[in-house]
Amino acid sequence: MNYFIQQLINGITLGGIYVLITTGFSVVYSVLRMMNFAHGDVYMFGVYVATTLLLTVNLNPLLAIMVGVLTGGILAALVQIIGYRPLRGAHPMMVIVTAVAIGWIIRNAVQLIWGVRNQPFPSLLGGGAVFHFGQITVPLAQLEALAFAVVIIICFNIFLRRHKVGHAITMVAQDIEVSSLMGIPINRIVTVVYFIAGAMGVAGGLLFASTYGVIYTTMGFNGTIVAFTAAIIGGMGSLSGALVGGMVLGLAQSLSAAYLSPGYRDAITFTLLIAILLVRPQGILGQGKVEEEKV
Amino acid sequence: MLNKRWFAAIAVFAMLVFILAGCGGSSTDGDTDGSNGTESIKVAYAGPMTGNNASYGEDQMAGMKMAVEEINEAGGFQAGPLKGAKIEIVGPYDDRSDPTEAANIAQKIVDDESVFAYFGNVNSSCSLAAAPILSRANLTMINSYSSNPKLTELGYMNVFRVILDDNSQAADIARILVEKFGKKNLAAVWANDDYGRGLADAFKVAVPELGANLLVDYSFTAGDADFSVLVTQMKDKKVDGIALLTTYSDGALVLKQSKAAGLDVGKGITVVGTTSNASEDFMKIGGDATEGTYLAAIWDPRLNNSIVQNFNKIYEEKYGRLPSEAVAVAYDAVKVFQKAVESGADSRETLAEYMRKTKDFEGVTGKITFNENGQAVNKESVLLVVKDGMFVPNE
Repeated sequence: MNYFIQQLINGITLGGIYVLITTGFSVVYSVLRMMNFAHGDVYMFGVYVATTLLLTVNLNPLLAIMVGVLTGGILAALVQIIGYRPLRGAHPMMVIVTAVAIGWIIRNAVQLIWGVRNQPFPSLLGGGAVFHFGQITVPLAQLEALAFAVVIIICFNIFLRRHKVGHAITMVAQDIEVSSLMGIPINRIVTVVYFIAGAMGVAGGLLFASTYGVIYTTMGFNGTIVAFTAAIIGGMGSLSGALVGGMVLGLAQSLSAAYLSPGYRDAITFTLLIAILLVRPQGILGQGKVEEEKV
Repeated sequence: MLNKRWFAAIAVFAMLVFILAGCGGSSTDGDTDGSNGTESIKVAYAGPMTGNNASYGEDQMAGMKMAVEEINEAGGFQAGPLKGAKIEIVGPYDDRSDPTEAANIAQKIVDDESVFAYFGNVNSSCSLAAAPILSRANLTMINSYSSNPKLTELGYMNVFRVILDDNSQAADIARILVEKFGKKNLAAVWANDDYGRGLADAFKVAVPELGANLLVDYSFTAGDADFSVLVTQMKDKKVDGIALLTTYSDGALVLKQSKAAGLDVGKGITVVGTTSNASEDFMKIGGDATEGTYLAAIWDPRLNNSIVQNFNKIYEEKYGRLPSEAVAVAYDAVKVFQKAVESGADSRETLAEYMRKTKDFEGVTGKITFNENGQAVNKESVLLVVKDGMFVPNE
């Protein structure tokens, strides 16, 4: 039982990080029906910037994280303005290809600037302490990472429900044309959405780095795959779907590794993905029908 | 619709023409360069120059360059039909640790008939992908870092390996954990690729033979960074010995996360890793969690003998740091090749025959003797320990 609870906590921590990464991916999809395959690489860039500020410049950790998060947000917004905006109305395939290409460009740029070797990342949370609860021991860092993920998700939800811009985002997600007729500045709102997606991605990437202690140039691309998979599992474009999808994916990966064979971790992830696509193509929390593609 | 299909068909056809034209072009290039005199011979190097394993690739290239420069500065080969000829390195070709890429590169290299010998690769998966292609073209592979046993067991007559294979390495690690340190409840961690599987198979055979128990058998996909499941398993089973059948980045992460979760790695729990953990990045990534970890290494620059110390001096002058084992084995690979050429090899076709005759060759990493499969035999591994953030030979 203790063993199960510990593995469950491992899964929930991983799931919490996945939720942050997936939310950024999903919120972009909800507004523009666009799969941002550069999402992971954009936030990876932000994570590298934060790491450099932290380790090389020796900036205050809080400041370094804030600059990293801002960098990710600004880069995401820039990518949108330069790469995606001219393609609005084009065939969805064009946008996907562009996104993949932008991801490559960012990844290669990071490899040129910071090199290709994996780099250590200091544990920002927990301070190496271990949390005891009866027989169960969990690194405090894991619990704190989870807490951060939850807080960020809650704040984002409050923002969407209470703030004027949040309302505008929700509205654009429902109908971009009507929103535009109602006087919502679409371009500005879309830019804000990308900014938020990039910033939340960096937050997820930093929690990942801090919990597992390493950063590497393919972490972003892996993150994109995670976000894509989790979004499909939970329901593409739905925020509660991102929550469920990310959590289900994290739990599935950890528990399958714990109870079946860790070597089958990826196989099980993708079996889950295929099963969802077969049984419930709109995802666990998706709307009744698969929405038509539009950009 | 029909138009689109036609267009696609034409596009595919056009691409094929381009690809075929490309291949034809490079092979004719090879023909014109093929009639080299005794001025210089070409040897190719392929290995990972980008990605997780880039540091091995870079180090191997450095070791090769060092040996080649030494030979060339001494006026080329000293004896044999190619006396006076110098060596020119073609490459490095970057296989990015990707077997498909390694196969493509091997094909490109064999098409160039002026290439005399092939050095590489680093990853076993890549070497195993390249070996059949090289073998068909009679081009000799001299490998100094892939350790999957299969490489020299599949019957390729042109493959030589100057280091011990995983069977010997994994059995060594099991012996060290059980016999030297008296650990009975073991965990094995390995990446689910050719390298990891080869080690794990041999380790799983060795452990029960020594009377110990393998309680946790954990494999992972390259690129996984989350080892929390493994850590929980090791805690749950109360293992007292860990075999890190990994490369440095994964190995270091396992220890870092174990320590963060309160496991007493390096002290109460004895950790013995493969030689592939022997990189400065192991300590850089793992930090103080790596303290007290043992490695069954191929070689160490701090070994107290004159050949090694001399080698260090030359390398340090050029690169400003001590050579890694990846440097030393790559250096030895070239020196063994030199010996084969000096004792009579004069072409791609005859090289393997003379390589096979290598016996008791005094290399920097020990004596090299090949068996009939091209596998180096009877080399000894060196036990290192991480002390104050440095690898030192275990006293």
